Amino acid sequence: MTDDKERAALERLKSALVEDILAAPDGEILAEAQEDGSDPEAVAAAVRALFEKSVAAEKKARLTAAQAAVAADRRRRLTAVPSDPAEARRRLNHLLARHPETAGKLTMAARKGQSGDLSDDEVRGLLEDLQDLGLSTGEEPEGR
Amino acid sequence: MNPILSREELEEAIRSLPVAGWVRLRKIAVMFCQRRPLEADDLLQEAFARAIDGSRRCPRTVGIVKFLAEAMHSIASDAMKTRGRHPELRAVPLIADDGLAFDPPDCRPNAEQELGDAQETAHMKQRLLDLFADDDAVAQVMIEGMIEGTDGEELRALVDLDRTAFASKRRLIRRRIDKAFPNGWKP
Repeated sequence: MTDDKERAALERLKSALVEDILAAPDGEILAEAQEDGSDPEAVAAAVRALFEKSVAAEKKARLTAAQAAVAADRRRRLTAVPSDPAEARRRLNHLLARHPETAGKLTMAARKGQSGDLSDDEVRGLLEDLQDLGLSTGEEPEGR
Repeated sequence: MNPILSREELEEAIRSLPVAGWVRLRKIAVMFCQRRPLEADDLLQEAFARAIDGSRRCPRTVGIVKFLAEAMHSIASDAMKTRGRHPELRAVPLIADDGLAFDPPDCRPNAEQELGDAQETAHMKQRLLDLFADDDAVAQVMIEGMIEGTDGEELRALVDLDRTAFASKRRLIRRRIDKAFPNGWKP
């Protein structure tokens, strides 16, 4: 007989014995534990602790995933150059107002942005340039 | 009503287990870890984790201990299968000192190892059977039936016992094995 067949035989035996563990009355399970030298209360407490540990780990994993999703969403909002021309222009103006020193270093085009002379594509291009310079071009609230 | 327990219901059901329920879970974990590269606590924790994160879903009609027992069975079986597929990993240079390309060793057990494993498993099985060699014929037929995969009712019919006598004999078999191998099924 091959090892696989022998193993399968033992696996079947284990399954039958587990069926018996499932079917045994509570009193017998407790009595068996004591007979084997275990304290049922201590065993129960240890298994319960494993369960609570699993619950805590899963909650932590869910929290981490939620935080990562929020951060990813925030990054997406911060880095996305709006396709709506009016919104892009509003953000550019807002950004130049918040960072006048940067605006001063930029080209005449930037200053034209504030006067409204730029085309929609130029506004988006400028927002992308500012983003490349490390400025947040998204919906970052004031003071953050 | 949803036929599957929600996460909250599942947690509540597990937390509400009596002391015997927790002890029962531990005994089942120990049983499924016999002759497997797993520790009972790790198996239990993994079963709890899969139940809580929804990887395994518990039907309302299934008892919580049975549900967790099935989860443990599945995890333990997978662990045994993947052990063969995922040998120990370690970093090695792609080019050996002699300038030749690295030739990875074959991690599958060779014929000699396979034969050794087969002999050890066969020996273990024989030791389990021998525990009942001097016993009544019913216990012998029952353990042989269990090993051959004859299921509960079929086996009960075979040995012609009523439910109570059958349960009692099956318990005798399990407890004799427990006592003969307190440190696990090792030949």
